[in-house]
Amino acid sequence: MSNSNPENAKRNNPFASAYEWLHGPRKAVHYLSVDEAYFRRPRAWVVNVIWLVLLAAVVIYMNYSLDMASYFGAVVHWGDVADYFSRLFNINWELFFGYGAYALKEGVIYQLYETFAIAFLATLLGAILAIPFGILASHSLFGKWGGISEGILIVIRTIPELLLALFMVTFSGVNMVTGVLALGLHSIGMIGKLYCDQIEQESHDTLEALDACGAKKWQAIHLGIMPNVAPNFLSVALYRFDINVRSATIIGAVMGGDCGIGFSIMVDTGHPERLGAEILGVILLVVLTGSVSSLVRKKLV
Amino acid sequence: MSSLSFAAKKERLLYKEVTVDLSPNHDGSDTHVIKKKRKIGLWISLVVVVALVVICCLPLKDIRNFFINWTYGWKVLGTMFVPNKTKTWAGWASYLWGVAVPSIWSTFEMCFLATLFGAIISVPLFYLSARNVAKHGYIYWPVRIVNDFLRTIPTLVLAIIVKGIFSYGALSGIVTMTIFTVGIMYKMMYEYIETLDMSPFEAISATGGNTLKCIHLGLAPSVMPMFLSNFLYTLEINIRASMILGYVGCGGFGAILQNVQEDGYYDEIFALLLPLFIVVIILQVSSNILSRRAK
Amino acid sequence: MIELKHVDKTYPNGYKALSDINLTVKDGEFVSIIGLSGAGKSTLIRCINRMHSIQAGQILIDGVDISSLKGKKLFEARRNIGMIFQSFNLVKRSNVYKNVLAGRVGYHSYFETFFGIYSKEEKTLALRSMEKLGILDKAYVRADELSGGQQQRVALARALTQEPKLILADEPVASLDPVTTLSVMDDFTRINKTGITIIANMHHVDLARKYSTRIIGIKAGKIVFDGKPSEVTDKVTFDIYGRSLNSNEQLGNLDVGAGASK
Repeated sequence: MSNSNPENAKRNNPFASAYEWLHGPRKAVHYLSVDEAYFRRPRAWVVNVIWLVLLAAVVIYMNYSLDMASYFGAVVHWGDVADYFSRLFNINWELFFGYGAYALKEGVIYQLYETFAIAFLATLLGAILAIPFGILASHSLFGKWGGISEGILIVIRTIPELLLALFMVTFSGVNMVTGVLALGLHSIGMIGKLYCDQIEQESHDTLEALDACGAKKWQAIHLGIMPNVAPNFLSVALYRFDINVRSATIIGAVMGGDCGIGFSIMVDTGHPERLGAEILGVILLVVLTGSVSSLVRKKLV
Repeated sequence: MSSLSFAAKKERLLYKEVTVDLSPNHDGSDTHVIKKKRKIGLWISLVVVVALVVICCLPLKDIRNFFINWTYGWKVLGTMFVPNKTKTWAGWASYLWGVAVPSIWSTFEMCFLATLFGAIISVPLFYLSARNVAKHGYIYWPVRIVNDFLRTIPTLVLAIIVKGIFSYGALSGIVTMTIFTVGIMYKMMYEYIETLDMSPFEAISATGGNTLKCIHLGLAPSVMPMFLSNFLYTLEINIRASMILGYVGCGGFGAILQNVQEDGYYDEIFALLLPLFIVVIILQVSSNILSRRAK
Repeated sequence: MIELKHVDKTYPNGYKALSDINLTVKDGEFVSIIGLSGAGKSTLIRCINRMHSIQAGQILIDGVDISSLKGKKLFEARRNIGMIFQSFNLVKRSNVYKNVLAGRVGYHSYFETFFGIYSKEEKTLALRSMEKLGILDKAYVRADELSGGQQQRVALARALTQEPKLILADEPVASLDPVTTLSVMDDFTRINKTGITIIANMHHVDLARKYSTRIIGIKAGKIVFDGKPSEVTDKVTFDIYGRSLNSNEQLGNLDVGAGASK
């Protein structure tokens, strides 16, 4: 009896018995007495200590290899910092509005308009094109075949949008179209995944009902799922729009040239006054679109 | 028309009356009048969207460039896979091991440390700002306002400001990412906590625990899996962000990428990108698996 | 001994839940509170525990006014009072052992509960409470893998681990099926016989009559009946409920296994 009992077979295996000593028997076991149950309890503190030690070791190793110790001894020159910041806040309004010494097209407001346009068009492109990808990727609709589309979406999502933009520069040069296409392609990946999540959350009961009354797959999707998830899709698109606005400012900054906020000049040479104007513009844009987007999203849900 | 009150006019605008004939012989013996809502909101938003699209297409001038450079672009991309500057495959491999992998690893270390610190800092913050835990407004309002302000500032701006203070390489990158992490994690976690079932919290408070004990014993077991999954998600976001930070001048990987970019040798770029891809894919897959297990 | 003297409770939105409650419960009694939903049963029970605060009057538990305690003394008072909830209120992701040990948090500092440092006697006490209720087999199983009756027993074990003098129960069997209801009520009776006072909200009048030693009827925030189960006639229940009892308030079939006689 004791040899055929799977309990004892586990005890003879050292790894399994060590695991059980740490974590306790996970299922219901008949204990002969309270003391036996006490003996076989999971030693939670040992597990926690082991994890903590591992984490501490990793952190210390990383600190050592990054040579963080030298940074803690560094002196922060507060005088320079204060000077830098005061120059930062001394905003060059001419650059901001684009008059006087600067043409309208170089003014921050126009650059913000271009950035907004990039983000908007890219989100539109992404939201529309992601619908078929997202539907095709959902496992509840297509079972294992959903994995193909999901894989495509993952590959698209993995490439950071900045890199994608830099690649597209070889195609279409440094201008708005590059930004729109790169950001749009990246958005397809991101929005597609969120669409897929929404479909999987909402679809089981509806699909079952429509299946029972004999609808074909495409009819079921069109009549059963799309009306339900349409407001959620819109909410997802708005959420992504908010994020895309930030990405668009960064893409514009890095690519420089004729495409949105021209941070790149400012970053390298360090003229805080002009930088101040551009930072103000970026903050305004992001805050405005963020609040509008969350207002509309609250109304949708 | 002007004799109708404002409410009546609004009613006429929003609803239209439809006559429905329910008689069995369609002879009009049993008709009902039903009020149907006009989809005004839909039409308005359609008009707004079309207007926005038109406005946004105005600055687009160079679409033709896209089609002109198409084949040239593919040819240039093709050079990615051919050793150019590194002369041979062996040279490429040594570039990969010698330069690319260490820089990716140090970037990963930076991101990991920053995300860890940020996540730890955000733990008390998100408990303090969840409405079911901090019941009084004056506790959660200030926390939320400060954090929302920090979240709104785009990463690049934050990086520039932090670099202005610290003006060292990795430290300013880590500080930026820590602040960024706190903003992201805190928002995701407090939204999750507000949807949690408070019943174990109540039970432990009935047993005689103060709020800290109630949180730790009642809520923390449910919060932990979500915390880990969000941690991985934020780590992935931070790796992308570190590329951007590298352009500003703090952080390892981005700076190297910038130098190489200016040279234009795509095979080196490919060598740099390959480890990045692998790291990001691993993170995505593990965060996928963890979030499936947590559900 | 629990005394309520002239207790009033008004919710912030102005709704007066309890008016002028006067009640004395001696040690070792098994008191059931019956009444319509919304009449104030839950409020009364939670006021004894100070989970809701009262606007007027006193609640004395062994001579200590629980409504005036603050901070640490309140927690010390609460650890002598166990509470059972209708929806069990267990930590679903933890195992039964951790849930039952949570009964001892009142006796330790936060530091010790954070690291799970309980003494060996307390751990053995927890396991023994589980054994008394027959769930020792499931000691390290995740709490949400148990059935409803077993989860309520885990909650009972948690209350027992506190070594309380009083157990409050807010509709403890309302979420359970009839057969499990009877066995859980038997557990309550066994616990009561060891000397622990039990004050329970009961939805089913016949259960209350069968198992308790004293019945209190509440209507619209006032006590309208206070006496032995045998004194609960149809007229009394008509007064409390405003109508004759329907199937909601009668479990029926109380002698399971002994034939279906009402």
